[in-house]
Amino acid sequence: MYQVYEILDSMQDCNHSVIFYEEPEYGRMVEYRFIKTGLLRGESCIYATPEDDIDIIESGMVDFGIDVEGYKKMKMLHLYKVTDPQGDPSGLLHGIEKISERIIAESRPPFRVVGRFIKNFEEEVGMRANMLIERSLHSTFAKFQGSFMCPYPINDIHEAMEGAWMQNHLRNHHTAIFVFKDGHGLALNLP
Amino acid sequence: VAILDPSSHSLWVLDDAASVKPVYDLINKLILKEGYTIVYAAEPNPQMTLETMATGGINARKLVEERALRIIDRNLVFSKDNVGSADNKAKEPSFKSYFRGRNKDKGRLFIGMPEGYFGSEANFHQKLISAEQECNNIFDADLKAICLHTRAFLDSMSLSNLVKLLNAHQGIIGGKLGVKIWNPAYIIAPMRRGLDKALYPKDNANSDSDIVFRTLELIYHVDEQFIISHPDIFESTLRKMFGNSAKAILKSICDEIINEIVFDRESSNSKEVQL
Repeated sequence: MYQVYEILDSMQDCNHSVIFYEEPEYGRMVEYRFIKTGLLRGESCIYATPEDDIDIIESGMVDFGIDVEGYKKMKMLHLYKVTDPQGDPSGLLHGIEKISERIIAESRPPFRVVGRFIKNFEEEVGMRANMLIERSLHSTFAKFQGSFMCPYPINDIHEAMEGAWMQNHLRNHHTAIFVFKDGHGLALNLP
Repeated sequence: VAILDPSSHSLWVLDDAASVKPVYDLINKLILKEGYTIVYAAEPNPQMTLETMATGGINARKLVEERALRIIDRNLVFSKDNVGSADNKAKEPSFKSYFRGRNKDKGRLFIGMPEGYFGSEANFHQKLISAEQECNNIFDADLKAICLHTRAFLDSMSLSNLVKLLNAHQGIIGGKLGVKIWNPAYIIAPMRRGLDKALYPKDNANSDSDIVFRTLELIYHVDEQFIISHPDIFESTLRKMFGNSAKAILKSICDEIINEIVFDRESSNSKEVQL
């Protein structure tokens, strides 16, 4: 994982990264490292997920050495469960805007976000929505005052490399991080 | 003499400058069995070369007297007066002029170690590569050449220069590849191995290099053919992709390529070059 951490720690302030992981346990280590680095730099860190596992994330952060309660009190760390923007009556992109506004409402820039908004991104409709969101976010990322890491659990990274979804994501992030079943990782800077 | 037929300009990478015994054996064999005339300009002291050859059981003095072998101080051969500079290109007549007075030869072979040439100049690797590329226009069926280089010299090169140096030759002698006509595509397999070793040096069915090469192709539009023809762009792309880790990764790739081509005394095919 050394090579991943090296890329992670040298990321520029305004970076849109994606992490594909085959085992949540190892993927989370990268996410927590990303958050911890941001906290140590004095950035506002946000963890947003459509899953029901906020408690698990919090305790994982604690185990990783993050003073969750302390940073929450200082309003430097926020964890949110987000609702699926596909159900927003005003449309997907508008729904994303509302979620984005909500999760940064209590923070000041620079922001450091680990966030995914679509829960079922492996199903056809969710996949298309997810691809659109990533393209949209990346095309306007220069306006975002901070870094954003998009986490995706993947069964088989090598197999996924051939798909349009993966290609869309590689084309619409600044950095790609791959974390494999055995716990080793690979990080690539993208154009 | 299979390798020398289609490959008029070949590369032979030695473990070090002192590992020339197989070269001596090749010289002896080509002269005695194939009727070649050979000019050997790979060492700085011809007298010492003669003595070392004799120690190795080669009657070099006799070969010299018969004008089948000429041993010249490499520093005299690889000088600007003789070879020319990178700007005015290598001089064909000067190489031919070293062969004289023996009409019955069945082939002419120049063996040199040019790596010290341009040694004190800026961009000397690029200048040497330009001179090596130019050599493909000089050496042909009538006058062939083997360029000796040492592992240490290749170790000092960047990945792109290493690939360019290999591609500047038509044949390769020794190493895991054996004696072969050089095919630029040979670099891909060691490149992948070098990447894998640097990124995750454990046996892994799904290698990291697959991810890297796929990403290069998808995002940077760099496929294997492009890598072969544009090694400098490949190198700069890897530098961008890997940031601070790039140096170690590029070194690992270079090591794998060199291991593939270096004439290792320990390897099974290196006791004698079977041409």
